[in-house]
Amino acid sequence: MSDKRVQFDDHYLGGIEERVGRDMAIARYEGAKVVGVYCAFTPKELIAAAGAIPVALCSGSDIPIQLAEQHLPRNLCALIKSSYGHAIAESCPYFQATDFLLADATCDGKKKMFELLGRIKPFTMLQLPQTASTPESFTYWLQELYRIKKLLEKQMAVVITEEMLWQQIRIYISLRSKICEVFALNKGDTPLAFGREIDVITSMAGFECNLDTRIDEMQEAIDRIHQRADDPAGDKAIFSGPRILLTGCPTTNKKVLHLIEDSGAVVVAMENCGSLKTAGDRVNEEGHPMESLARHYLDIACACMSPNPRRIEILGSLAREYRLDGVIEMTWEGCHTYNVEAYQIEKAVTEKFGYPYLHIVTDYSVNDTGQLTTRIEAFLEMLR
Amino acid sequence: MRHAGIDIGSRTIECVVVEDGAIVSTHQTSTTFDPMTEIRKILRGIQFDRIMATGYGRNLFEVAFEAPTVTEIKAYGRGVRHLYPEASTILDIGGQDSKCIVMGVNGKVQKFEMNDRCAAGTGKFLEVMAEALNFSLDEFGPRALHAEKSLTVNAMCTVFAESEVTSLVSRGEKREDIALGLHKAVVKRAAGMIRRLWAGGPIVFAGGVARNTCIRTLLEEELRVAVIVPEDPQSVGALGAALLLEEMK
Repeated sequence: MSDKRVQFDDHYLGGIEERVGRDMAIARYEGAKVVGVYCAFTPKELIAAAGAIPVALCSGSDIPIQLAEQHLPRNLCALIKSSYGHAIAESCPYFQATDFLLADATCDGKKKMFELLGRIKPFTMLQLPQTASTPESFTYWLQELYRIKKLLEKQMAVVITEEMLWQQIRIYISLRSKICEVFALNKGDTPLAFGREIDVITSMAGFECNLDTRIDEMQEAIDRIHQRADDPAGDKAIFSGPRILLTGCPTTNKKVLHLIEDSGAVVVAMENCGSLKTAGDRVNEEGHPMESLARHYLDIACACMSPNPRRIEILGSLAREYRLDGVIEMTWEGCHTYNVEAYQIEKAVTEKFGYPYLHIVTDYSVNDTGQLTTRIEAFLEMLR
Repeated sequence: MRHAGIDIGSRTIECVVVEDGAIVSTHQTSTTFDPMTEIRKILRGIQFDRIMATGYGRNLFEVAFEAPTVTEIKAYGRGVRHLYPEASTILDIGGQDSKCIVMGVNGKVQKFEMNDRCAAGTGKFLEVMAEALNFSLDEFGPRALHAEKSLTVNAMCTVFAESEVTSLVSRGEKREDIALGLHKAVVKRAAGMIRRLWAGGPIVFAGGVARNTCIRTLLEEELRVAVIVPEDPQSVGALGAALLLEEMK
């Protein structure tokens, strides 16, 4: 794909990351601590309410994997190995800047990897229930969040009031709504942006500080995309390819997203961590803030939860809203939860919702690019 | 107007020319380490008006010749529909890929499965195993059919299987018996792929590995169904590409 078609790329993201890095440095100078998080179940609102800066540390790079395999099994998922490899190689600026880690015990691979990380950084595990469907699991999770709240209060020497929590809840609601607005650019007859652009625009770009600025940047991108769409000289045909929903594991590594669009499709929606899986739901602004947070985060439709019926509900509504031509599920090799769940997802997508479905199992390396291209192109040929 | 299809695979290149839906000529050469030179060689002396590429080298061809391309999955589907209009299930095992394709009643690809990065159970696997047992590729299948007993080879990875073969040889096993075990391992994998998609009915077996009579016989036994091998199983993709091009507006 020629670069001029893709306006929001790594270069654009680099600029945002620089700005975020500067803001973090200032906040840190003023005494703020950086809290590293991994999976989506850790309430960032709690961290921010304590005056700390959350940063997501899941890595998408192939490079640190070899180093990670000194300690971790080769057949573990690439996301876990990459994140760990970065940590031990001291090659990730985000990890380097982190004062302590709050890690949610999601899949088996992650939680056991966290134990090893605990040797390098101060670390606390959020013990996650394995189901969201019982009242007991909710009560347990709420208690766990109270434990984390206490811990943050001690670490940051603050008392987190309800008002402080509501304030952060409102900021994060604005952020998630803005992310949904960016995706909504692709709900119309003609999509307005490539999935890879949406992915860049909605990226947290590292440290989650000055979120108001980040929201403004997303709005500015939305405006620019509208201008581009209204430009009579613009090439509308570039968005005429099949409309694809990408679901599955976190798209930390972008190779499959890029291959799909390099093959002529447009990824109009993404049901993954950070995108519509986690940004689509709104925290309840009534009742008690801790209970609202506990409910919201426990309901995340991750495959580590059993059962996980909400994921199929989300896919069903995204399929309707984004007028799909097909669904591609991408899972990382060694991610048992998503790989097993793929069977139920395929059944739901093909039989319940009636869309063609392609499942890609891969890792961060590029040595399967040839086969993946053929499979993706053949799938797109089926849709045309 | 003459339309050509060129299938640039990992081991061989085929070119088929069609006119009004009928095959005019078929050509084949080895891919080697320098496919562009081989492509130029094979195209020399072939008369055609337009050409479409498929197979692994299709993007290489697209750039060099500004030609349209199609995946080998769609091309094999189209080629088989020409040869056997009633068939709905295709198995294609080539040099480094294995694919199962299921066609809908409309003649379009409905579902497919393909191996991932690993070339386990493909032509490359059989080639390395034949060499390990000092058989030529052509005699590998027929000799395996002369086995006296069937040995089990568990490994599907070419490297692991080679060491398994070595240990069987050192145990004093006959090489025909080992060969049968290796063929069975390939068939087990292919049958698994077919069963995931298959709605029954005969299977058209194409690609270079379809030349291996042992694989074909074992597949028929395993799936209890007729396995049809086209007269020239390696040119089905090139034929399909030529026909698809002819149909393109």
